[in-house]
Amino acid sequence: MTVDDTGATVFAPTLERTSDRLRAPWALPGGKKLAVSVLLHAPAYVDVVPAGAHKPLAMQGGVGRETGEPRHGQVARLSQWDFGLTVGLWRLLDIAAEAGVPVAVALDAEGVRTKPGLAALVAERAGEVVARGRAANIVLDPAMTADEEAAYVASSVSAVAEATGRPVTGWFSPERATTPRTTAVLRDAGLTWFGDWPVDERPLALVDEAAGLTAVPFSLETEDVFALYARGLPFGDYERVLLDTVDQLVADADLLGARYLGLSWFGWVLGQACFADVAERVLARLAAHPDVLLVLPGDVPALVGGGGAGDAGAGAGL
Amino acid sequence: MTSTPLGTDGRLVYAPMPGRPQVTWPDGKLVAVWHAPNVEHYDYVPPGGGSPAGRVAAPDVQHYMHRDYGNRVAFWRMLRAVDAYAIPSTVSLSLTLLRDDPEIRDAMRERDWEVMSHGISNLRPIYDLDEAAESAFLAQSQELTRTHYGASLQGMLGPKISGTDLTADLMVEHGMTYHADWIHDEQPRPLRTRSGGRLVSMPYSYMLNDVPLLHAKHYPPSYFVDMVRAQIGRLVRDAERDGQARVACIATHPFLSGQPHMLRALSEIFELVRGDDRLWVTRAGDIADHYLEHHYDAQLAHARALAGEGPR
Repeated sequence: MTVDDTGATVFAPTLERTSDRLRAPWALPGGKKLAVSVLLHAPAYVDVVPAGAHKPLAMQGGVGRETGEPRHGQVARLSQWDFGLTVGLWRLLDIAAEAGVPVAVALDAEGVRTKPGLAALVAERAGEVVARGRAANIVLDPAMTADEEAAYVASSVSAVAEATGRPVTGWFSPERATTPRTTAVLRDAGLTWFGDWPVDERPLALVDEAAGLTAVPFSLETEDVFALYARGLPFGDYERVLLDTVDQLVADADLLGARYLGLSWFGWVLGQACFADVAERVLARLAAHPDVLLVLPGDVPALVGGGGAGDAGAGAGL
Repeated sequence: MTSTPLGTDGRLVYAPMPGRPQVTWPDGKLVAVWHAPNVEHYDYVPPGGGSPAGRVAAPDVQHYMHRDYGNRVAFWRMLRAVDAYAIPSTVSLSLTLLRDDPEIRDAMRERDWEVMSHGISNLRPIYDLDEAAESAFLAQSQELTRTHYGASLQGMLGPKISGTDLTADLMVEHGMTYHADWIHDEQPRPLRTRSGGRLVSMPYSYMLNDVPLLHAKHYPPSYFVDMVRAQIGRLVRDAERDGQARVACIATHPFLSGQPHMLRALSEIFELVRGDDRLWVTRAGDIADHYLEHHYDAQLAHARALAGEGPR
């Protein structure tokens, strides 16, 4: 990690700098042009965060467009996030099953501890189980010590793995909040992929102290919280974003090599009745698309090929 | 009584929708729809002064007059649409209006609207009330409603969506049966209370709601219609598929939905609600009563079994 003379860390650690101009094309089995993974987030929101834990500075959900922490006693954000666990997640899982699309579900330690039946039902229905930290609003923070961060990751992974009885190889940080150490911590915890970085259109084998970990990029622009809440797109426009993204990535594969799209969806957002038809139509389109490979994110590192075609030439010339 | 306060994190009784005992509505209806007009009073200068909209110091006449217009003019325009489609309504009411605006009170009475508490006045949130003060607030709320409306309050949506750690406990101790601040489900759900008294959440909406949608997030009126159509359409299809009857709330405010440019959208919403005979268009209290009588015990027992707890 390089710190310059202004004190800035100029580039993200463990990520080689490259671009499509400098690397060999990525290829997918069967000549597919676009690999798509669907990750359903099932986070639990804690209204009263324990002392010493780190909270996000702002997050979505609640009465209006306010993103600061609600005054204590207003339960709009708490209950809106909880909707994802009571109803929204299951609606999206039903939609995915109907379309024949395999999905990963990301759980956190709080959810599997406090929501009876959640872990067991996710274990039964999800193609893959992913760890998602301690709680929706208890996040990693650069003020944590290395030991605190390692304990946060390890305890989250073990809580989710034990509650579901499923192996956990992937990670998604709540609010995508991390520290400069996080990729190394995830690698050292035995994880093989994480989804936080919307940095590319293909998965990336990380380097240096995170070598062995694959960044599986879950796009921000196509994430439901970002599109429908942060940006405030009407749901019809969001559907257009999703479908146009798929079409353009497929077309670009002929120029650039195979593309990857990680769809990051929340039960409390796209699982709402008013939005769920968007998921239904988009997943049906993806499932029927001859150029699309639907893949669980846990299977993506193998497609990168550990130093093979996926990252050939990475960093050259920079 | 439990020794540890339930607070906000301890209220909800979790159970995933799949596997719950089935909820059904009268006559085989699939989705209960309740219209919640928020008829609110905003003090000209609220207690303690301040800035009602974070814009200028009180009196903020832009804010005050916009909202008072809602009660003076726009309420009556809205009522024409409500009457045209005979929409049962559950008014989320600043209760001082029962005393201070007898015309509105009588119009609601004539239409058999249910009065749901939305506090005394909408610039008087209850966040900072201690137990005695909150209890007195609820007693005053019931008294205002009994005296001026001849009915008891069954439920509340906190004024300015405010509450305390004890709100649910005190509501049930003041005779209420539902709390509309919780939006975690598409069915009423049991809420834990310190006395064990039966209180349920009533699915309100910040999505099908003119203030967040139009006022805070700047969508056009036609999007309100699109959202209602999408929400109810999906709920009906899902209820047909899994047999779980559901709830949709359409929340309005006269100062927005009673504006001249809103009447077309509001009429379209009511028309689509009235055009589907699979919907039970009713009042929140009726939904709560039905749920408490027919489904509360089974759903609570199911959730407790999931949690590995015995019967209470």
